Amino acid sequence: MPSRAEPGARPRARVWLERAAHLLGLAIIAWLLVDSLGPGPEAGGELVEAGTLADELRRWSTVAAPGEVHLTMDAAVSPPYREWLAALAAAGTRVSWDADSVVPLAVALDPIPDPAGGTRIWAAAPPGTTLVLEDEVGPIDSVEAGAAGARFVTHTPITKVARVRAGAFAAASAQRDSIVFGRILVVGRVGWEAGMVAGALEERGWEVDVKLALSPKGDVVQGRPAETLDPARYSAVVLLDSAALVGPAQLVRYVREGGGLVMTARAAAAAPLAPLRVGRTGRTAAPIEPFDTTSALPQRSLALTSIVPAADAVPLELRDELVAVAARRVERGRVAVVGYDDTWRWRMAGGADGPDQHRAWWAGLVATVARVDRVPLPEAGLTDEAPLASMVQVLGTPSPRPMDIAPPRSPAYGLAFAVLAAALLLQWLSRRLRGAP
Amino acid sequence: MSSKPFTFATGIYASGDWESASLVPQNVIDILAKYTTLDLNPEGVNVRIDSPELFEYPFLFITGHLPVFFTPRERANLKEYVRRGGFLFVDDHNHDIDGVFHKTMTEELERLFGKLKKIPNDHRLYRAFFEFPDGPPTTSHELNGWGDNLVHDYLMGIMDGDRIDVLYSNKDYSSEWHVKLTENRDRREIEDPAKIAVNIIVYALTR
Repeated sequence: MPSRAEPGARPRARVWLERAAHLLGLAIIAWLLVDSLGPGPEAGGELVEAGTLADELRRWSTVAAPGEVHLTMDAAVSPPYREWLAALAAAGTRVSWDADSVVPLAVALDPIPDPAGGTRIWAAAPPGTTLVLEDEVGPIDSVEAGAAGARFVTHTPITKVARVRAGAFAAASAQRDSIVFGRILVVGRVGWEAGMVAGALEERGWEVDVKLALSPKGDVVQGRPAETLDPARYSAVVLLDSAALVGPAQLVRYVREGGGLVMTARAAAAAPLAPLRVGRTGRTAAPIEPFDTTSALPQRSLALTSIVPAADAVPLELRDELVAVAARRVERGRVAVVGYDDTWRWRMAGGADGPDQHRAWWAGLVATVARVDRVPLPEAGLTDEAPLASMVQVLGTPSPRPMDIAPPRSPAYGLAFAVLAAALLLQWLSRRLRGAP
Repeated sequence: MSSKPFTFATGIYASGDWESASLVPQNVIDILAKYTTLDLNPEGVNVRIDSPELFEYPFLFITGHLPVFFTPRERANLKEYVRRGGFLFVDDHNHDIDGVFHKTMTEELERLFGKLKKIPNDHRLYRAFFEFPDGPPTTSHELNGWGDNLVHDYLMGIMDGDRIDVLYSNKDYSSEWHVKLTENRDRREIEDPAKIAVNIIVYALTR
């Protein structure tokens, strides 16, 4: 083996380097030759990805539209570009698309029937998808979709466009209308429950009328209760005891015509209110005294007459295995029955947060049944409630990439050419410097 | 399951003589039963105002003759009690604006809740059940020259807008309600003070 000191070692290495550069050049030429013999893009057919769609659409619209376009939707395509594609198709270009990685999303916003405001955001997405709610400022909340999708609740109304995002895909929507509230009528007997429920709803922003039985000589009437119960006037009636002060028949008619009713299980037991029943009463649970302020479920300290919901009723709140609140639709109206007694104890004895929790709970309950009028809002901005469904509607169902449209040339072509040129130049220079032909 | 009846709660405080009108609860309950169909607890309760049990009774009656100095715990509890919606009714058993109960109690109340204000005599309190067009009815002690020999023609309160959270009386209704209503007294003399008790309770329940 020659040592480094041997004079022939360096020239031999140089010759091997030149041969290697030569072989590399030949290999690259061969690869380019073989690759060029494969299926290439058909004249007039183009493959495009979502990220470059905008540029391509501009080019196609100003230079020459291709005969065929296939979109690989690897990210969201905004409605204007979707419509642009549809226009391209209408002008004669065959447009197809695939969406293997698209997350099917849909979103809807609904104002909460609560004077304190707030918006419910309903999102449809595959179970397990992490969804992020965001507005123009940034993320608001995130949640994982369940079997029935996901729901967000904001305590301040969303007045502009909100998006629900799953990775690179998003659905966007805005509230379509605002709410005009009616009044609330609280009916029952004078007592802490009536006083504190009416107070909680007033504090929440409802205008409350009150009719409470007190004595054979007179009742307590507050606000401006109307003689006739009309859904146009009352968003909801809260019935805590006997319906005698308003008349059970009138109450039944009010609900059937679209009114909302919240009533206690005790009140619901009255025979004339049978058409409004949500179920039958079940087991009872005694109150906890003193109130357990450490419980994660403060309602646990309240006395409960549980409800066994009817077949068409929906349980809204459970306490262990017992149904505490249930609701059902009665013709055009809605009825919720509350199994708790003396919820005022929650406000008074339920700890420092008791008043807020009691107020929010009652407001939420009333919101589930309240009848409200809606007024359309002006357009808040560009929305896209169900991007995938809209794509199907505009461009037809997704399909695999047509075989006659090849993917665009790899960017490795440029690199291969650079390496080829460098190898040949290296070989030429080396040979010239050592005087070889 | 039925809801809890109204319970007349008398506040026990560490200083003074909270028990000075021990017959008031029973008499007021009798008055309420006479005039209304309210669901009533036939027995009043005495509850320490520094205890968590206080919050189970949204109506609290406090009276006395002697100086009152609440403990820090009593102050904190009373403040929270009113914040959550409890109704506090304090009656000066002395009927004397120069009396020690009045001076110390109003000082304590104003320290906790701010300035006591005169309640206008057309306030809903005076129409809550019976009509009192001239404001609070007089008591026999006022008319007989007891105490400061003045007729106090208004009640005072800690107000949230129009809503009374703390009602303060210089009229010594405690003395009126402390005596047996069956005693041989002029019916007119005791009727109005009895009726204002109904108004106070009904107002507290419906404000």
